[in-house]
Order: sequence, then structure tokens, then C-alpha cells
Amino acid sequence: MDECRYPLALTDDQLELLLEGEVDAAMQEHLSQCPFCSARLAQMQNFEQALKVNLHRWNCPTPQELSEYHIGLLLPERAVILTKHLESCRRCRDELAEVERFLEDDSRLPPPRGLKKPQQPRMRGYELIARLLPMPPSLALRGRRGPTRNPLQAEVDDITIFLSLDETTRGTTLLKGQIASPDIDQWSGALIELWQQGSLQAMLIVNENGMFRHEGFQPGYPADLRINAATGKLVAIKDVRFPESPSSEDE
Amino acid sequence: MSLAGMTVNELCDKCKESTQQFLNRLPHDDQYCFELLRRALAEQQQDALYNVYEIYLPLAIYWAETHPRFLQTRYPADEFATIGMSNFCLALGGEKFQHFDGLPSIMKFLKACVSSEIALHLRKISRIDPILSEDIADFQNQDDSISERIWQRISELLPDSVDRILVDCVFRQDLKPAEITSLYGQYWSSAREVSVALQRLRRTLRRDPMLTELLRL
Repeated sequence: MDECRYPLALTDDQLELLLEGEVDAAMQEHLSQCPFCSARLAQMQNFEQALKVNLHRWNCPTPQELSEYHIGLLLPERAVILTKHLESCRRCRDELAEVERFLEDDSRLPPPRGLKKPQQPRMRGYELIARLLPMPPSLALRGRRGPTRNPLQAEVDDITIFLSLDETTRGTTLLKGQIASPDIDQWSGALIELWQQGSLQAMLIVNENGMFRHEGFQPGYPADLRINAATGKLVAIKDVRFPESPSSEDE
Repeated sequence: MSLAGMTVNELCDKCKESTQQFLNRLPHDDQYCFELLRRALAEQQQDALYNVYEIYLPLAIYWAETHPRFLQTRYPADEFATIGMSNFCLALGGEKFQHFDGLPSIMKFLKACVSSEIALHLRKISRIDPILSEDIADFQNQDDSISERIWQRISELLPDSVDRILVDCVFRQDLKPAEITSLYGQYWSSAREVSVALQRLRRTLRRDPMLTELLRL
């Protein structure tokens, strides 16, 4: 459909009014009957929406940064930049005022009893899910005690996470892991939540080489790991089960 | 026994006791919790960190649930509390811990971290086009460098700074005409004036092929 069905097509000004939600019965009637003008309006709406999606708060400091600004944790030079931004950003001023009110409001103290037991978070859309890959048996360490179970490998984007288990001389199980990534620095100091059976079992800290470990791992239960980098990146490895090594009992 | 001589387990027991006294509105001694937090965050001791989560994650959940905009999120409080806890621990790692001289100021920061996570989530869902998607993941990896290029192009197309203020208000801040007139009454004294000015700017922007390409339309 490349032309208007009516003698006079709707003007851009009229379509602008429709875009802003100003309803006019005659124009609505025109649109309902005319695919050409409807398509023009749809094109304008798409443009409008694309601008909003791409520009929405694009250069605003994060709420976390606003909180750190409020508490005085930011470096002075960064604080100056935020002060300048706040002068021209109503939305950030509102958020800063909101956090200030929330922090000052001590009227609702927690109840003496009945704070909830944490549940394992399932933040749909917030985390990158690393895919567990089967490891060929040949890659399992051989000719020495342990690991008792085959190592595992998980991947997402350009991040690979290696996991393995060892038996310690104390009879406990040691979970060992390493993150490999071209940008390993962003994972240094990352925090790992280890969840099993819906409960938080341990917190692990990734060292400067991307390695982490936890003694006391319970190999009998599937585990979920959530790796939180200081950059805000969140990677989850779900349903980690270490298969029994076929050779472990022979050694 | 001095604090330095106490094991993490001993500190944890004392901190739990002190936290319960706080919840019962009874006098309490903060020093054990502060030392436990110091070992977890400043010294990065894993077992101390786990105990910090065990003691304070329930409190963080409570704060998430009582946040004035929590109900708008339509997500469980545990989500915001857990990520808020991570941000809290990551932000206070190492030397930054020295900025805090006592438990109340640290708890205030934890509360701020939980609040920030809720605010961030609400920012993200307000960016999503509800017609096209309800999935927050669609905009998780929003590339701000594209946004910057789009803004640069708009700045080239609109040399008048007042025009740019209007585009910023409408498209970056999503302000309504009434909000714009109350903030910038010197430029637009009524919603009608905002509307007329905006129509002119939209036409200029729509005609530009480079901007259309940047918007992937």
C-alpha cells in the first residue's frame, strides 16, 4: 500500500498529535481505514520508542554509585562529576532523595523474631548461565590420589570455569575451581555463592589468578554457583554434579 | 579475650547474640559484629564472609521487602538482598572498609546497597518496551557506547542547547510535559509549548538517515 485511501493523507502534524495521544475521531476513522497512514504512524512510533529505549538514563550514575555518593565513599573527582550530573538530572535527584529517605527511616525496625531464611535467588535475566560441558575421562587427573571425581568445565561467552574435587587428608572434600577469561582482572576478588538444597553453603573469594576453593563441599548434592564480579557481571553455574570417576575405586 | 584472639566461630556466636539483642531492642555490643565484618571484608576471610551472609542476609531481605518501591518490582526480595549483599561486600573489600568507624554506618551502607539494587531493577524495567518485551534480559547488555553515539548525533543535529534540553528531558529522563514546564518554565511555559517544540525536534531527528541507522530502524 503506497498511497492514502483518502483524497487527503493525514499530515505529519496530525500524526504527531496522534503520537502524543491526542485522540480525534475523524483522524482515528482515517487511520482505521487507511493502511498507508497507519504505517506512517507506526514508523513514527517505532522511531520514538527506539529513541527512548536507547537514551533512557544512558549516562546516569548507577543507583549504587548514588548511594556511595550519599555516604561519601566516592573519590572526590567522581563526586564532583556526580554533583554536576545531579544539577541537570531530575531522575537522579529523585533516586538520591529516595535513598536518603529510606536510610533515615528507622521507624520500621525488623521484627524481633521471624526474619526470613534466605531462599536461593533465581534472578531471571540477571545472570549469565554457564553451560556445563562433559569432560572426556582422559582429562581427569591420573596416577595419584584424587580427584575422586571427574573435573567439570562450564562456559559462557568468553569465560570458562573449571571445577574439580579432591579428598583431603582430613577426610573432607575440597572443591577447587578456576576462572579463565581474557579479562581475568575483572574476576579477581569476585564473590561466589555456593548453594545446595536451596541453602547457602559457603562463600568463596576468587584470588588474583582466578582460582577459588572450598573445603567441606558436600558432593552428594547438586550445587549451584553464582559468581559476582565487582563489575556487576553475574555468572551462574547450575546443577553441578560431579560424576564418580570410573577409575577412582581402582586406585 | 581480646577480639584479635577470637576465632571466626567465636565472633560469629557473639555477633548472632548481639544481633538478636538488637532485634529485641535491648542494649547490645557491636564490637563482635564489627570485627567479624572486618575479617570478612577487609581481610577477605572466606569463613568470616559466609558468617556475615548468614547473619545479615535475612536483614537485607527485610529491608528489600520494606523498600517503598519493592512491590513495583514483582520480584522476590531475596533477589535484591543477595545481589545487594554482594555489592556491599565487593564495595567494602580491602581499604574501603576503613571509611567506616562502627557497625551502624556499615549497616546503613548495606541498606543502601539493597535499595540501589531495587532502584536499578526499576530503571531497567522502565527502559523495556512493554509491547515488545517483558524480559529484563533483553536490555541487560544495553550498549551505552551506542547511546553515546546517538546522543552525539542528536547534538550535531540540534545545535541549540535549549533544544537538547528538551530531547534530554523527553527521551533520556522520560519526563512528562508538566514536569518539564515546572523545571524549565523559562523556556516552555505550558505543556502546549512543550508539545509544539517537540514536534519540530522530532521532525528534524526523523529526517536524518544516520540517526535512523544508529537506531537500527
